[in-house]
Amino acid sequence: MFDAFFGSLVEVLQPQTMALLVTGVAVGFLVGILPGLGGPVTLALMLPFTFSMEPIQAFAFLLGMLVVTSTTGDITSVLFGIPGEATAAAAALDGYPLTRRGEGGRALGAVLFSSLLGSLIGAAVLAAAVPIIRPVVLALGAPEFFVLTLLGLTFVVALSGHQVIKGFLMAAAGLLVAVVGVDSQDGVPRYTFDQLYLFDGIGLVPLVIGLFGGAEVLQLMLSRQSIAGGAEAPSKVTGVGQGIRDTLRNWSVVVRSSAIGVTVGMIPGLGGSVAQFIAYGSAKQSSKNPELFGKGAIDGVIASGANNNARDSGSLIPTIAFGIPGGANTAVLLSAFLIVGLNPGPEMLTTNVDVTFSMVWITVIANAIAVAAAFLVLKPLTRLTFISGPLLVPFLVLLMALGAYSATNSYGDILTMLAAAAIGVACIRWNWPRIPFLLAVVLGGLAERYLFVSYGLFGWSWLSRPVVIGLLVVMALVLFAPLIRQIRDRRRDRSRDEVTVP
Amino acid sequence: MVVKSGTKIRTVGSRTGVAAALMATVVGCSSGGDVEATGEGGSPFEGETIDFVVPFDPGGGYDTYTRLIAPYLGECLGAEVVVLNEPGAGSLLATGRTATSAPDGLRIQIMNMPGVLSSQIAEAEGVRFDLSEFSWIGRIAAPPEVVLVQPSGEYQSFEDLMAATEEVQFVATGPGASDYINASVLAQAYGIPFKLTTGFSGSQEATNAVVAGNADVHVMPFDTVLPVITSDQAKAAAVVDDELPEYMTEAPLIGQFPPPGDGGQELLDSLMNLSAAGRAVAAPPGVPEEELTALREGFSCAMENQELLDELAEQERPVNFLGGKETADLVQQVLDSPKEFQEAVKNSF
Amino acid sequence: MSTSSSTPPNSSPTRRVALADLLLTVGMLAIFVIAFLTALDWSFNTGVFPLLITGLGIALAVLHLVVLLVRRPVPDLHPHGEDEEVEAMDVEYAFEHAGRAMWARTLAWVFSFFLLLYVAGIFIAAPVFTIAYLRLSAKASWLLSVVYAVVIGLALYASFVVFLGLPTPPGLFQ
Repeated sequence: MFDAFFGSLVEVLQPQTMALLVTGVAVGFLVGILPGLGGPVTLALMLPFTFSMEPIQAFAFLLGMLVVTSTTGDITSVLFGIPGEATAAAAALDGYPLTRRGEGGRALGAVLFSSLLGSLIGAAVLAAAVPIIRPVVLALGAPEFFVLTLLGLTFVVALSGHQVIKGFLMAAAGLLVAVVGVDSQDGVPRYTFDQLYLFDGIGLVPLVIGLFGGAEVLQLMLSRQSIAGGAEAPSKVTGVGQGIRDTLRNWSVVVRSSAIGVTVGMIPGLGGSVAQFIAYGSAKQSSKNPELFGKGAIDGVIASGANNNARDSGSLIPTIAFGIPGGANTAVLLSAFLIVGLNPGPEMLTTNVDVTFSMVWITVIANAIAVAAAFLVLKPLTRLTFISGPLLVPFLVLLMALGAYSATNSYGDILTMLAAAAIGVACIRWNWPRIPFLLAVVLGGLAERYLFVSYGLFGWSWLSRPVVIGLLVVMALVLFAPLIRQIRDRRRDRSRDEVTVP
Repeated sequence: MVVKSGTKIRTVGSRTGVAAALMATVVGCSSGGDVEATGEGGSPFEGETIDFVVPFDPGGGYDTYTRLIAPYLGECLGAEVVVLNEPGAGSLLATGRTATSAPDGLRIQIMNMPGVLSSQIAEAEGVRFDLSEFSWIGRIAAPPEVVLVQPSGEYQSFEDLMAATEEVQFVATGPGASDYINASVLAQAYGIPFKLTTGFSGSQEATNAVVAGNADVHVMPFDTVLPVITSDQAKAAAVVDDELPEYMTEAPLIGQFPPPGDGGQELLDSLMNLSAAGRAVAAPPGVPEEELTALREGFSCAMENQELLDELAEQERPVNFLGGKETADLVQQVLDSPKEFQEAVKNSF
Repeated sequence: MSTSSSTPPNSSPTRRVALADLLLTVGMLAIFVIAFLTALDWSFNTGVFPLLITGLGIALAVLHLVVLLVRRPVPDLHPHGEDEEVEAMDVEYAFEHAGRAMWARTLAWVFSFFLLLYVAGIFIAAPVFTIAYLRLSAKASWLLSVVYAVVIGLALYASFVVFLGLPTPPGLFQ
């Protein structure tokens, strides 16, 4: 096993393979930065190029591209508030406010460095998981996935701040959006208004772009200031080192977010769009300054960065072991297995284990290259945020339109994006939380599917599966931990009062 | 029933095919770079750009077939063939658009025939086309269905299934999906007591429910589940066809198990016809004779190209080419299936 | 998106926020009720989730209405109470302090871009909007506007058409 592990490193380091890896990284870098134009579409377009490649070469090219999009997607989120990828929305929540305070360098330093650490942790888990992958994935089924979606929904509480009722209302609205489309049980179209576009439900990519990017662009148009507002344009980008130090200081956030990323990444259909907010919510719950979240909390940025990149490794696990894609990205990667003549499944853990291990190395090397490259171009990128706002507007509006359109190549995507933008703007204008809405859109449909499958396969006995019970306990802890903490704090305050006030 | 869709959703126009050309060079087919005209010369599509529509997201099986074939088709027609993904409504959206597109032969589409045929038979919502009117260009492949069971489960063979007295747990992605239709029609033909669970987020996940031993049966096209069978994670209890497909060495054929009651054989035959329609290519209804003939000849020229066949073989993607006229006949035959079969399909929606 | 709700700079926004909350909640309640009634016609499997969701939504909306009506506007309903200094950096600030005319102008720009996109396609809409917006709204020089438009058009063409071969939004007449 160890021979195979290091043998695969040698294979990845072959000049031709490395050349392909670097090409993949370069493509992924650009695609990640452009909003909407994301991993899956680009990956699919690059598939034909792999027809003549060896397996490890093909994965160096494709996987290298894929993991890098998660890293560079965060750059757009932090600098412009428009998520570069649907999975990079959480990075915008705190990264963008930091940029607006003129601390873009610090935010980027933190998000890039935590991305690198996250990818390392994810890769380590993937490598360590090889011997136990199959029993682990076999033990997880629809019931576990259902409870995990519920666990995700409990974070609505943490992400609503002081406005719990508003948060729940937005979550209910999100769930309603989630059931739009043909239902999975009887095949009846729900709330589709006879529009075929809506049969598959509301697309996530246009939704995220509109919900998060729309408000930011409109704000630039209204205020006519540069993104960094009144902040003085510094002569050089400062704070990158600060961001790296911040990341190291918050190592526990990095580890926890990465763990969440790997776990959630394994669940088919769930993936990064949810993992980021669970990591973000959990960072907020454990933070010393939860009130800073949404206003430029550096630990929020770190949680999003680390989570994103660890997730990629997580979603590879079921793909390699069973050919079940963990997300849209790995669904396309699955085609690549067939193209290079590999069968996902037990062979990947025995005769072809070198290819599996090569994926670990590719993830690490690609991210290292991308982060190093990103640090080199940080300066000009950060400068952009000091340019007069109206000058950026045409560029950003076009990016949003094209990004949304590339989801299914339909004007329906652009309408969805505009509707989401209206919701996002209304939320900010009248102070309603946006994230519970998005979280519920993603989780709602899955919760319904997995509940039906659980009941169909197991009746009610699924409730007694051990992992399900464990997850329910975690859920209870997440729900009641703040409450318990509050009670404890109050009791401590009272006892102190009793001492000081006789 | 043609309902005019009232949105601003429009067809996607064609683009230049530099990317297609790029891919063509990578695939290594256009060796000289010159456009090679076919023997007849003067194809009506000389220099034109043809959109080859895939009604699904990029990356899947249909997408891969299309992207492999497109450069060869372009070469045979002397045209540029650009692959266009128009996902939506499980392929009904793109098919509806193709149905109302201009009949100039510049928009062609690959179709999941079992899916769209059964949708039309069941008069499902969202069907805004009549498949018998399309201009059929040809069929690429017709992967037969495989009845997948657990090697160590309660039902290890098709005999076990036929002898079942309790409800057998079938899985499928959703109503109207071909794994749903195949499962329910097969179970009806053989009188197997069954229960169908749906809601998986993808067919691989449904297959895995069988691998993990949480469900008994999943009926899938053989090429999709071949890796699962060759690695012994699941077993083919029966192949729903008259002969074994390429790349499959041993498995019982469904012919070994005659359906018990009356009408069972008729249902089974119709079901086999349905999957025989396979992965086909069509142009909008009413393409003039000359253009249609050119498309059919161009398509058969592409499908007979040894380089393309080698590439498809390398990826273990089956090919069962069928000409345009024959494909049209097959489509009509499925649409004219016996009442019992039509009823059974309707019940699967 | 409504243009009628911009706040005059000097009035206390607190009451406004409460009124907006009230209207938004009533709007959501209406949507939930309609969706609930629609879902009543569906079979159990199809309808059970929508019914649960909309039922929950109705209950929450009513609860929120009661809270809003019973509890008079209190300071913490106001998003940015004390430190206006820092808040001036926030996105909320721009939304709250832009005048009605500014809102109307901005939304008109957005609307005309997407209309132009739909009618003429991206390769006409992109340069036209760029030049128009830069000249008229950003007051940029002709030179900058034209160079910007050309660069954007070429970059779009190069990345989407040449390199990736991806479809872009076409116009009505393409």
